[in-house]
Amino acid sequence: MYCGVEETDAIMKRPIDKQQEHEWIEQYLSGEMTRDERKEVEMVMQADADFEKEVQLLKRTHELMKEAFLEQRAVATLRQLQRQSRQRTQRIRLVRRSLIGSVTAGFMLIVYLSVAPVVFPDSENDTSITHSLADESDTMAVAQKQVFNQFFEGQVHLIEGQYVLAVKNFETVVRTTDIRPYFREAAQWHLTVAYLKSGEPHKAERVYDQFSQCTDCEYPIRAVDRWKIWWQIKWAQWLK
Amino acid sequence: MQKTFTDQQIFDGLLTKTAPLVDAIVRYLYDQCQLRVRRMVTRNNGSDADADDLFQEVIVAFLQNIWDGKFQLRSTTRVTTYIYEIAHLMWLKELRKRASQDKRNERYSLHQSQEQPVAPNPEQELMSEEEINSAKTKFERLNLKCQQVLKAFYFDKKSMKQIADELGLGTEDNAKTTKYRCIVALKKLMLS
Repeated sequence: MYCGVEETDAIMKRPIDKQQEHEWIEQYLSGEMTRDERKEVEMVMQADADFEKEVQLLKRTHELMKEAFLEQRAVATLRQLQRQSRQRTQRIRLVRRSLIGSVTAGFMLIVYLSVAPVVFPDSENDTSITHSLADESDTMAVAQKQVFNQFFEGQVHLIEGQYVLAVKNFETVVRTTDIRPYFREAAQWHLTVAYLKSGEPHKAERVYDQFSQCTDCEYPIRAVDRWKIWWQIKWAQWLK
Repeated sequence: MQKTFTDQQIFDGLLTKTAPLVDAIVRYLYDQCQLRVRRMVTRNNGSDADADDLFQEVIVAFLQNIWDGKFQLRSTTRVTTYIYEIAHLMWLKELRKRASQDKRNERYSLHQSQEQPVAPNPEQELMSEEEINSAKTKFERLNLKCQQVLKAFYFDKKSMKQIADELGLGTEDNAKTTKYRCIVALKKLMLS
């Protein structure tokens, strides 16, 4: 297979077969040859210009492949870094949106608690307040009827914005001793709002605090209305 | 922690063509330049995806310029500035290409053209070629099987037996023949 003149030593001569010649050149280029083998290749290069061109072309091809592999690897590295950066950006955006959402929701809640009016149960039709009026017709009932009138007048004053008069009405009701706990609680809640509206948040807070630890309260005021009163007291105190 | 490099270290490091070192330099260049390139692209009618694609092309062009000897270190220009210049010019070219299909970007292109100095600088000279003919571009013209065989043998240093098994080429001799044919094909591509 080889075109060597003599085979007196182990030095591999230039192969005739193209594929084997290619492998022979690759061994030369990769430095896998002995000094004598290298000398043999270089002698052929000197003698055959086409062969020398072939060696140089293969050398350039090797360089090109190495550069191509490094460039491919560089692109893969960049893609990985860009993917990580996108994921990081998405996480930051998510956290930012969550924060903005939470802050907005908090702000909306504060606005709602500050602006929305406190809603009490409808006292006119509340039999827990009014049923004793129908049952009794003696002097005791007349006295109680006056107390109820004070209560309902207080409610009207609250609606009309006459808060000082409302305070007086509800204070009169609360001072009365002979009324049922349910009615007393209703009057106290109304008095709290009346104090608040008339610019006396500290008095409102004192009345409100009586209910903060209450476990057996009867007057059915909703939790959200309790929060409104609490928040409006704190806000009014802070503004003062 | 991110390794840092001076311009000289970048230049010398890339010339060694050592994979881990080239990789570390590429990461450093990403860290230094990506944000600026992204800002330039997104402010000039491009998307984040455009910026990512452009940056990959810019780094490949930069590597090729170093290896082809087209980039020489100069005291007046930093490597990062050079990369940004390439990015700017490549993006301008991309916009012009898009503008020829869609006139929407015409204003930006004209504006940028007016800003260019009369005498071309070295970066413009290298970019004035039709396109940067990178080793990667040439290599990727080969079919996928050839790319896999050559990469496995020359870059991953796998044996022919291993390559034959992994790529389903049958015997070791078959793998050798495939490799030879692929090299011949690549040489033809280089000469074309």
